[in-house]
Amino acid sequence: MTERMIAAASLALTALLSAAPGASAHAVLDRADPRAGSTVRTAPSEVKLWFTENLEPAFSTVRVVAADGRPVDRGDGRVDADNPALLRITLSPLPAGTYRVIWRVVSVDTHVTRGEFSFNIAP
Amino acid sequence: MSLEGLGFLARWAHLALAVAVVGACTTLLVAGRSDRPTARAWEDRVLRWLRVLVLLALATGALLLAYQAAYLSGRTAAAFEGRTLAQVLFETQAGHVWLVRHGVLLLLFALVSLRADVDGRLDWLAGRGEALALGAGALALVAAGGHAAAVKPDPWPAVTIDAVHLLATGIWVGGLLPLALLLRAASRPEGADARPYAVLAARRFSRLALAAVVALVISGMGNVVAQIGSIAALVGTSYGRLLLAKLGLLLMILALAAVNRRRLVPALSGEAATVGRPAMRRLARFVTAEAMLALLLIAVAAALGMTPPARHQQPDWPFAFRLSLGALQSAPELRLRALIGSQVAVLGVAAALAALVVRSRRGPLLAGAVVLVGMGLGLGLPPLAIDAYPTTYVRPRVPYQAASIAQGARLYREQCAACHGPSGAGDGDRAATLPRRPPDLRSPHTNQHTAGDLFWWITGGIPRGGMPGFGDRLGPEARWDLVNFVRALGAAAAARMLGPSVERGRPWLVAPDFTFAVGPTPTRGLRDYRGRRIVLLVLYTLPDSRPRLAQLAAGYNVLGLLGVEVIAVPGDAAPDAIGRLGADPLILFPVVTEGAREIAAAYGLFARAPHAEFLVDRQGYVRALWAAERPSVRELNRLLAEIQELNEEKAATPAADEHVH
Repeated sequence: MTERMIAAASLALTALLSAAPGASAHAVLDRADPRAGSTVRTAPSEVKLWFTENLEPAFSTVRVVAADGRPVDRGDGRVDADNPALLRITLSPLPAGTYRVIWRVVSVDTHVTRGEFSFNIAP
Repeated sequence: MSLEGLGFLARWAHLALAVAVVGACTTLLVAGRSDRPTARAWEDRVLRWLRVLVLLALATGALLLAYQAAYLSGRTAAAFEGRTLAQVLFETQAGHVWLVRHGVLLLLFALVSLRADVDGRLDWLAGRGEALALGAGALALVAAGGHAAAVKPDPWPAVTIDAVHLLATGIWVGGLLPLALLLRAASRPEGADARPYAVLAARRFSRLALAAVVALVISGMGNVVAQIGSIAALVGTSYGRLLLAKLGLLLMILALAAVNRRRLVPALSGEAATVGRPAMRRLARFVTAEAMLALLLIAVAAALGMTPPARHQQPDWPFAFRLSLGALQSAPELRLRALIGSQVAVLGVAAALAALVVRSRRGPLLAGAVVLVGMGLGLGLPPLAIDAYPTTYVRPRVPYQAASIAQGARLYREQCAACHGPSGAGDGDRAATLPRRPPDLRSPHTNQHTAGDLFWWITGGIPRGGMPGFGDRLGPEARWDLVNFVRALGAAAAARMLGPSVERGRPWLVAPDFTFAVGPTPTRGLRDYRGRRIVLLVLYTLPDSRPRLAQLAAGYNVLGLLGVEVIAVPGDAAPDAIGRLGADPLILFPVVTEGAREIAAAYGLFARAPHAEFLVDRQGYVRALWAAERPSVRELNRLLAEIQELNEEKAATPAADEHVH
């Protein structure tokens, strides 16, 4: 009786878990400046990423690379002191072209999320 | 086994051990002190268990720390690196919680390891009470490192609810095995001396467990609100589905617990030497089964802790329909059916309530209630059903921003206008060749669909309507830009109802967010003013708008005192807008030089006029709109009156969600 009940519960649990879809990594990026996929006329001096929850500074990183993979940031990515949900990094002066922002962040409940997007600087 | 699998096992074990520690301490206290040999033997055994449990909790805690280091840094080797372990401990919130919790566990281990003689009643109570306090602290603090800790703006209500949830679990679930052990010992022939003690303990535990279950259910509902928040998240995310599994398990356990409480606990009473012993053995067996199911429940809880909360997952809606009151707007004849259905269901509920009051004829009343509720739902719900898709409840990936709307407008002209028409009316050049005329994108019916619906159609097309899918041609950002543009089209049509006067207590038009820069100054956004200032957004054209701009410049100080920022946007997006305005009059409010094109494109949908002023409240809604073909000077006092109207508004409207659904 009870053993059968436990076995049934285990089976139901397994079925439910196997049906679970994967989590979307982009859900936690609230907005970005420059905007994902955007084209700007003036080269930005900084990339800013706002997230939906506060970040752990020790484990949250962001990089910006050119189309050929060359880093174009100043390596000073950091979580903003005043807004723990804001990750920012300053950039070298950028010529026209396409750039990729690659981020990996840890929220205070220790979940790792990552993502990337591109933006363009118009000639 | 994978790193994640090891992490799950460590977390499950650690959580189960922490629960068991609290349960053991609670049961010892509830059962009370006794001088019966069997009871003393049971107590000694539980205390030995307790030492092992705490030791294992410390060991699994260390494993969890190693897992966290590997997981957070993305390198498996970091599990054994002092530097990374130190980083986790001293530079993360979860690490701080770990330090405090394991300090408490060490104290508890020292306490239960003391072989002090606690024969005195007060000494005994103090020792057991202190152990319970330490164990409860170690368990409750789990909440400070979990999902609740990430709730914004203030995590403490959620942490408190979660802590209550954990403690209730510890008291009830953790106490099951020690109780089963006591009952089993007392049900043996040689355990007769402890039988009254065991009966009393079972009764006390039953009452305490009932209170714990009530606290568990209430705090669980609080957790659902904090971490899930919608039906879509419940059925469409892995977190939500895990929660459904947890609820299913809980119902099974509660059914077992109800049998224990209603039948087996009362059966323990009896005067004869043999009465109660079989019931005691059966109760022990059922309580053990309850505990085994609860162990599965803790496994699900551990898995939930490792899954991103539903608030931050994209729901994958599993059904082909959803229920919405909006469906009744487009089909008035269905309202009557829905109304009749709801009334029949209400009758059924009334019958069910009557069945609770009237004890005679309860069976027929309950049967009638079930039939009526079933008929009511069967009649009333279908009219509310409208088509739904996997992306219906997806949170738009691109915020409802001016830049997105502007880009969406460009894409619309290139990809959509041929059929849908230049303004979305469905009157494009190729519309006549389609199997079905395209719907008017500006109509209220279109607005009843979610952003996720629009995304699904843009991605996959509508074959029966002749619309192709753009999933292969446009990236997801571009498709979301189109969604935002279509939403703006609908909002623009509705915005024709807006005038220069504020309608009190009725915010509805979300102001698209935008970023802008003034000369070399850093980029700012409309959202930066959220909660702090009212924004008067001015789209202007020279030379027609010059008198009005001069008037606003003259009144800028007064506007500032009333909490208003003016942001002027040149309609032609000239980079040298400031120079063109000249120095007379001196304009001190921001004049946008970067971002003006996007702002003009987006807000131009709402007001196609050379001069337009949008009054945006502190929550991010457009509350008044003044569009002027010939921008004659309008009395500043009228504008000040509208601003005062906003300042006097007391109803706290939730902030506009820039991810419009």
